[in-house]
Amino acid sequence: MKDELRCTWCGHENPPHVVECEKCGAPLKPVWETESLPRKGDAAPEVASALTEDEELRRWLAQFADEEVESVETAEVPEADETTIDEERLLEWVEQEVGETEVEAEDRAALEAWREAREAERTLSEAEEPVPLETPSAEEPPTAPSEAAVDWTAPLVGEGPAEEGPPAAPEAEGAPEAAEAGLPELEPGEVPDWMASLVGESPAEEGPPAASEAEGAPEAAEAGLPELEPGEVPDWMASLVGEGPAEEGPPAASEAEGAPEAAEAGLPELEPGEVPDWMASLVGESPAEEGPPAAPEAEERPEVVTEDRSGETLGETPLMPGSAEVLLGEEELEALLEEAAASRPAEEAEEAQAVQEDQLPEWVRALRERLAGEDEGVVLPGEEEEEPLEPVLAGPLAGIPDVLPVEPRLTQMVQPTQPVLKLVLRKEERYWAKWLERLLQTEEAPGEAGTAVERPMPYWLWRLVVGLAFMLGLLAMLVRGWGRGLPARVPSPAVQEFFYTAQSVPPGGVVMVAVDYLPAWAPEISLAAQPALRLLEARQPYYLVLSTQPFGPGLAHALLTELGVPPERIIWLGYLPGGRAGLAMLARWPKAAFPPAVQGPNPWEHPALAQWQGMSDTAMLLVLTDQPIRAREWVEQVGLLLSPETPLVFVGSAGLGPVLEPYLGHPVRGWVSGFEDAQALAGLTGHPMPANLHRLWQGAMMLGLVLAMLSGVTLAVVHRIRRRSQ
Amino acid sequence: MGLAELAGLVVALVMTVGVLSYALFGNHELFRGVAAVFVGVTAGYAAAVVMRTFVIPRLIQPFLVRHWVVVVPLALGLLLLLRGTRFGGLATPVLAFLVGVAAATLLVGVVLGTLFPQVLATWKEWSGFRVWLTPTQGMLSWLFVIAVLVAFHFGRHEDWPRALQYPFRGLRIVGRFVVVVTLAVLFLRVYQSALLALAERVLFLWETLRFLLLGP
Repeated sequence: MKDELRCTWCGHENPPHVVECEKCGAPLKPVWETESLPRKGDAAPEVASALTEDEELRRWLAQFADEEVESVETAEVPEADETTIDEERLLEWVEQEVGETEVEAEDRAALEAWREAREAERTLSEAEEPVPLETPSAEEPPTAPSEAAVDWTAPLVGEGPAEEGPPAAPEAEGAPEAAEAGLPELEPGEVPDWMASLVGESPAEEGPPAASEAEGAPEAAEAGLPELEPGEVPDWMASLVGEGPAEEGPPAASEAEGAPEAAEAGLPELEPGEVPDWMASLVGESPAEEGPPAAPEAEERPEVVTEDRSGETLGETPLMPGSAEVLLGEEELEALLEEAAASRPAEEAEEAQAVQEDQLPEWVRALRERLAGEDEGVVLPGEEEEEPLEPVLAGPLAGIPDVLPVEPRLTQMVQPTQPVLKLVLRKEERYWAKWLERLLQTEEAPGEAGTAVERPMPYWLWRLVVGLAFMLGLLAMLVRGWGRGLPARVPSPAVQEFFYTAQSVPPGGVVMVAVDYLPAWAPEISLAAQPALRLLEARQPYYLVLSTQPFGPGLAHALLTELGVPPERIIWLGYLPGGRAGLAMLARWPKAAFPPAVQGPNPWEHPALAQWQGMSDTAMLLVLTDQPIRAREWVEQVGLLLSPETPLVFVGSAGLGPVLEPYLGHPVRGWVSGFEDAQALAGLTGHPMPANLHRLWQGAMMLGLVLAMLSGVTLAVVHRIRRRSQ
Repeated sequence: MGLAELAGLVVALVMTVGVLSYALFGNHELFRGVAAVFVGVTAGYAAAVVMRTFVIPRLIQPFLVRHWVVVVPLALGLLLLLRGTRFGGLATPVLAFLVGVAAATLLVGVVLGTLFPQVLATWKEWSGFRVWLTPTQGMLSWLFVIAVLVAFHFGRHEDWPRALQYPFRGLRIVGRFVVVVTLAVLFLRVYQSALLALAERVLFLWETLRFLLLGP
């Protein structure tokens, strides 16, 4: 057969509607395809047509079942399956309604009796299988939903079953089964009398039967329910006893229209005092509005009008068939929550806060204790104390200063302008933080760019001035003529001081000469040193030569040799390392700075140094240096420690004079700085410098001027060309 | 002139030309060769001088003759040589000692040898201690000192009263002018020295070439 399903395990061919192999029981289809198909031993294919209609109805009901499950989950019901939830709600509803009717514990016995009747009914239904479609189950709702919403309490009040019967919500789809599965078992004594009597007298109406099983249920109920004594029945219910089963039993949903009439016809007239309050409020209501939702019609979705506890009709909301849950709008829900919050007593809030504080971690408590009152008194001088924030008196942050209040600022949904990180600061730190904040606030904004009043001199003007200076120097040389020499210079005070100091050197005295320049500057130093050394040579001194540069001894040797100083008047001390520290040591302990060699000649054993004990026995300290900074180091480290009998003089490059100017007199006793001072000193000594030195100096100056002018013009032209090209 | 002197003169001429040719031809082979010779000779000569005048007579020889005092500086010097190795931490105390001594020496020298003498010299300018200074010169010296100090004031003065703002700006301009002139004089002196050295080298080349070509 084409539609037959072949078992992949045993090869047996099975009808297309089965999901398991009839021979071996192996699954024939995936699980998700087997839910709508009967299993092995289920109804025959003849039932397939009826199944199709059931499936449509089941899908329709499944939509509401999903909503029901979601509503239950959002209500944070403890973990339980759907049937348990519905059953518990059913029991709660029953207990609530029973409580409202002021029926005491004996009513519970009746409820238990009803539950047992349901159990018996279910047992009977299971015994009547194999037609599962006629037996409601969790998977398969009743085939006639219109009869499912049957309230067994409807005849009691003569109205719709929603007032006092078990809730019809679980009746829609598997609800009865859920109630059967999860209801707590009550003791027989807890069954109220009135309910027990109802069970015994109208078994068909007591349990919320399945619509299709309305006929089979009474037998089961009769078999399992205890018979109550007449005296156990409440008075108000006793009047109901004896009425026909059609009036007392919960009518089928499809019979909702006929129920009121039956109730009106059969209900006895109760005294006002006998009617419970909850029932009194129900009297007069239409069963269609108050009772459990009617079962849906086959084609159209039912619209169930629900009522809240205050009896106010909230509206018509599509609801799951059989569900008694009240669907509220958002506004109503908010109003209800506000009302509940407002009605909460203060004691309850305090108790909750106490419990909450007990649950706070230790560090939060410690933080609250430490920060409480810390912000008090942090006020800068001249500043009024700010109005403190309203302290937070409740919640886990209670007692912590500067906690922003919640309510007024919660709605200010703006981006914070300051970091919201709460730093833990001590009181002193907070004081300085405030101080810094105030300082920043008082700082004025910087002025706009370009508002500076001072204007630099135009660049072209600078170039013009420099160029004219060079031109004038060059013209002066040309006018005076090449090689005629410079005009006689007036010796500077430093040169005069040097001259007098050199004249004061005793004949045969010891002059310490320190060579502290590099070979590159030897020509200039040599030019400047020649007149000075010639002046000294007239006193025939002994030269105690040292150097703070490794090249110094060689340079000194070349210089003295050029001047014709005899070697026997030269005492070589050698190289003095250590920079400033070496100079300081030389000023204090010169013999320690130049210890005698273990092997070889000892400079300190020279005959000229027989009476020499230290720097105070030196007739003059002559420093030859090319760096003004080095000259200042000599002044700082040595000059300040020299006695007045030991003058300090310098011979160096042209840049030496301006730096030594403040030290003229003490400790510096003159200097010869550059070629010009050397020429002036030569004029004082009466031995003018040779003509070649004049030409050399003039040539250097003219060369420099020419090079400067040429380089300036070249740079200007290149700059102009580049700017034009850009 | 002997052959050695003549050879030396030629070598000096070639090396001088090689160095000066950098201005015209940039970094070329002759310049690099001359620079390498210069660096090598300089380093070698410096090392030779240090060894001859310091290390051998003051460290090696005392150690050989069992003057154990030099063991301490010798050990410290050897620790300095460990700098850059994995035992470089041993050189840290030695370096700390050297830096500390140098800093203390510098600080004392600057305060006592530069700061105080210059302040006193400025005062002497005003007090007429120097007979060759006229009172006008002394006043100008004080004015320039104040102007330079004002020129180095880097604070806000826009919110000052106008009566103070204009003198302040005037002193600032004068101070900047004095600073510029002073630096120009110093630079001119250095430039003068460099020109003199250059001229001396040019004169050397001229005389050497004339001697080689024309004879003495």
